[in-house]
Amino acid sequence: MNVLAELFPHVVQNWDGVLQATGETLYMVGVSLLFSVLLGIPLGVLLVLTSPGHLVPMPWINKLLGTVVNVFRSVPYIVLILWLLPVSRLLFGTSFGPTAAILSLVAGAAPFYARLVETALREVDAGVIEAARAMGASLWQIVLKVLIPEALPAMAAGVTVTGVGLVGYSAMAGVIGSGGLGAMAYNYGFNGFQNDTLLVATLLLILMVQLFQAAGDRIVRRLDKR
Amino acid sequence: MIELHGIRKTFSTGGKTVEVLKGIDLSVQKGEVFGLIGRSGAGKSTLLRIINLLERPTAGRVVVDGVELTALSERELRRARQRIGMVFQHFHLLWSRTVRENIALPLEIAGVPKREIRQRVDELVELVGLTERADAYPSQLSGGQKQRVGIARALANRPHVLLCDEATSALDPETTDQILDLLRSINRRFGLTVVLVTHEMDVIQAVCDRVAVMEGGRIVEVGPVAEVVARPQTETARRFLQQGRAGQRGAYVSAFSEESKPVAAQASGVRAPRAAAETAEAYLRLDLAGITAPVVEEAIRRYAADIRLCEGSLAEGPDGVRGALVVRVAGTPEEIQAVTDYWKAAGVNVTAVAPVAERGVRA
Repeated sequence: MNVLAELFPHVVQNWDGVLQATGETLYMVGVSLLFSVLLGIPLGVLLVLTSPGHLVPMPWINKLLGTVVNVFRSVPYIVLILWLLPVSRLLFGTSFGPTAAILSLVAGAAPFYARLVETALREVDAGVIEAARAMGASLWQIVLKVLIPEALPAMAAGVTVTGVGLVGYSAMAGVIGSGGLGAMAYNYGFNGFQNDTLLVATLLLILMVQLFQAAGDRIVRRLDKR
Repeated sequence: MIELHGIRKTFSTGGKTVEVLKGIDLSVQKGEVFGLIGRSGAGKSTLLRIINLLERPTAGRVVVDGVELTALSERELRRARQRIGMVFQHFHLLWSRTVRENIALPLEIAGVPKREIRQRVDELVELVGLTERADAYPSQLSGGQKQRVGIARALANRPHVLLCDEATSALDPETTDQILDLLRSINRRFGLTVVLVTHEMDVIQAVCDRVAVMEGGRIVEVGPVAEVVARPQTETARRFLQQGRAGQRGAYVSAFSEESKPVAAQASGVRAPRAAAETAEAYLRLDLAGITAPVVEEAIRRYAADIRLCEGSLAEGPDGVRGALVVRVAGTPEEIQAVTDYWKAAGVNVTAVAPVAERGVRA
């Protein structure tokens, strides 16, 4: 214990703070990942279905959606946070803290996940869709019974990628007082000259990403029957 | 069963329009196996896809089972499609579903209750001989097995019409034979109307009652298979026939095979209904060496039994014919006996053999 206290004085002293920061990161990433997936799937499905040559080609809607997605994806996250400050003030009454951060995290990650969903759905063999049409399937049935189940492994892999991305974004959300490990590393570790806090916070983030990636890969392997 | 009137189809890509179907009129009878043959680009697959309106014709009417599909709303059309099965060259199975689940898909789409789905799927799995592999995923199956799943899936909603798009083109010859046998037996058992697109004359000869030869978006020749084989009217048909005979299957009795259809069938171009009187069948090998009288032809004219030439080859020699034929004789046991007795009396060496299909040779 003595050795630990000597090597990581601030961490040992502020162990509760470290735990809390870990919890905040998990909360932010978890909730925003959930909403990103819930928004990203329908958005991705629409992007595919309305594209030229697909089941319900609607060039205007497709262009509009594509542009919106691209706008959100091209704005750097740190800038996106600033632009969304008034929105979160409007919605949550505050532009500060982890809940406010979730708004911008979703705004950054949902369009990204939507693109991953789009790519996954495009990979579904056109022949399978044709077979479903020949069976008399409705558009809704094709989406739910064919497109999504067939694309599920790729969509699951996309969740992993998005989640890992969100861990990174959540560190930047520290500027609006989101808390979390990233903010801890910056505020205490860098600005407060606590090298041990910087190190431990970094290690915890790495561990988090590793575990998340491993779990994701496992799920994808189980889903993939090809 | 299927009526196509004045079907035209043009595709436009990048400002250029191509007319792939240039006015097609076609009528397929109930219960027949109808073949569409043509080279790639002849429009045969497009024509097939027009039957269930996967492709909408630019002009013309499609009538299936008395319903004009071209006049239906989207919703009505989806219901109609549930009664038209379709089998694809590359199977188009869902790899995320097991054999059982793949076969269940059209039933789920049709809104069949879960209990019924289970029961129906069990029947179908057995019908196509995949009971042991019912819980396997498509990636664990061979090509032939995948196509069996495709066929079972196409039959799930008890369709009246089965459309086969190059259903055997991705399979090896032996598997092709098995799949064709399966299609033929399904056609007979359920009286299903089958339309089959292929570029192989072998396939047409193995299973089809009638054939339409397509070239450049038109049907250039249509008729009973036997007739087209015996007297092809167009260069396209002749080329397909040569391709068929150049194959290893070789010794077809194509020159004679107009007789291989029952006489009634020849007149209408439809396979005669399997009469209730046809209670038995026998496969006989006729050794015709040294026979000068046309004993086979005579038997077909004189006897009630249905006589079909299955395989063999003959050559005309100075001392009569040389060679042997395998024929299938069907009818009541008495009728079969009568024909057999006639041949024996004429000096033909008659021996019973195993059914042609069981020996893995295409009739």
